[in-house]
Amino acid sequence: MEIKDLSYEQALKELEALLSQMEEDDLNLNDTIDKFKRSMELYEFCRNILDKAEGEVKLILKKGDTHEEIDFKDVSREAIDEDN
Amino acid sequence: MRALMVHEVNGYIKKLLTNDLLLSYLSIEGEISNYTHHYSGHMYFSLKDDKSRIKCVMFKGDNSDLNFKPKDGSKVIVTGAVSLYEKDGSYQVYVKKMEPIGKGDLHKAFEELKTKLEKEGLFSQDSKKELPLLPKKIGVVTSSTGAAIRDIVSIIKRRYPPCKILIYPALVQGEQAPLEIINGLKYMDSRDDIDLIITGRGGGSFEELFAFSNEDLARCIFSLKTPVISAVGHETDFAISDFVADKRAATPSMAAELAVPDIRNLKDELDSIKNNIEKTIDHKILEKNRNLLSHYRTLKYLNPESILKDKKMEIDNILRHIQYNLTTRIIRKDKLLSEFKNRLNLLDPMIPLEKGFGLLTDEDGNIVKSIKSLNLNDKLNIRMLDGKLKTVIVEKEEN
Repeated sequence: MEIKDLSYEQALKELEALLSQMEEDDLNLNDTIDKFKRSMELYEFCRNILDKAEGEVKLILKKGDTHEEIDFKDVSREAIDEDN
Repeated sequence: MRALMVHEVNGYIKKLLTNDLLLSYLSIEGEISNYTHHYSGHMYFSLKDDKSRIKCVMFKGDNSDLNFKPKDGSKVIVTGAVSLYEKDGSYQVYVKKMEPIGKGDLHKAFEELKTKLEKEGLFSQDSKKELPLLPKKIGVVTSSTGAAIRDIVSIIKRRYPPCKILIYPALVQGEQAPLEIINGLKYMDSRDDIDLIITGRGGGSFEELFAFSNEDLARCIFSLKTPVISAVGHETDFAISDFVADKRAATPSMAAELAVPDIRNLKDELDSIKNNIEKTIDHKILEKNRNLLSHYRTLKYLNPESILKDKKMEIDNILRHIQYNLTTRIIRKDKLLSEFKNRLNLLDPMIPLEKGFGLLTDEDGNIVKSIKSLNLNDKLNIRMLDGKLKTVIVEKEEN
């Protein structure tokens, strides 16, 4: 499977699987090198996901049947806490 | 008739009250007034209706698990015993249990709905969906102005900054609340980009939290494709949504912690796998290298070229040895020969002549070695290096 189509979980799982395969003794060198290459690609892929820019926080405004999204600017910070 | 002491009277009345079947266990409905929560932990108040009032005390040990805060004006039902406080001579209710009025009905409805939905399998573990490890976008259905949303947003952002959050504002108490929450949940579920939904609210009274124990809401949560975390009130609060959701969080903050992992842990985990892989590979290559080197040595050892080289060297050695032997032998012979020649030279009779000696011979040519055979006037020949002399003996003297 192409790495770009994987989810983080899938990539991490494969990475862990590759590690345990590489730790086995009876793997030939070509296989090991292929697996190593793949694992480094998976690592970069996962790392890129974690290093992504901060995700936005949006608030939905209902206007009739349509849903508009506006930035959520923590409107509650100064509001009285109704729950406590 | 003997006059009784005050404490004897109070003791007697107390005995009467404690032995009374009705007064030893009863429930009383009324409105709280003069409420004080003493620093000792005990609660003191009066219960009143429009005609009368009665003093009440609820000790610390009995009030510690009250799930609401009594206050003046609260309508409650208390359960306990009526007895006498001997010191004051006043009777009061020793309250063991206290419930706000109306709560009893809600509790009943809650329990009935819980039992019904449980029987239908809405709470079954098998139907719980797994939460994504790393949600890309979380939908939150709650009030947009409470502490709950503030906690959820700030904790998600602290733990996993790349996560996107979409908030669907909904009333979280009152009659309209269940419908608004349902609309929010359905909307979130209809979107393709939401991979986890959180719904809930901060703490409140049982009635206030009851919106989350609505049957339609419970069925809606059960029908969603997207995993749902329910977080209603505080740790001790439960709502039906908690049972039917894929995960119950004790508080909205806890929901945020369950929703996303701490990015630092993820990075550590990822880097440690990478390090292990690199270590394994290093080790593998080192091992292969060592094997290769050992094969190389063996091959080198078995190489015919090197065997030939060795043999050639051996021959060279022998040749050199022979050559050496021959040479030394020739030199030795040479030396011997010259020695022999020297010795021969020594025997040459001409050699003494070179030093000035003469060779004496008689007239017949015989070499004269002694004077004995010679007489005066005998003629002798003297041979010198450069010629011959003829001489006559004129004198003779023996040694």
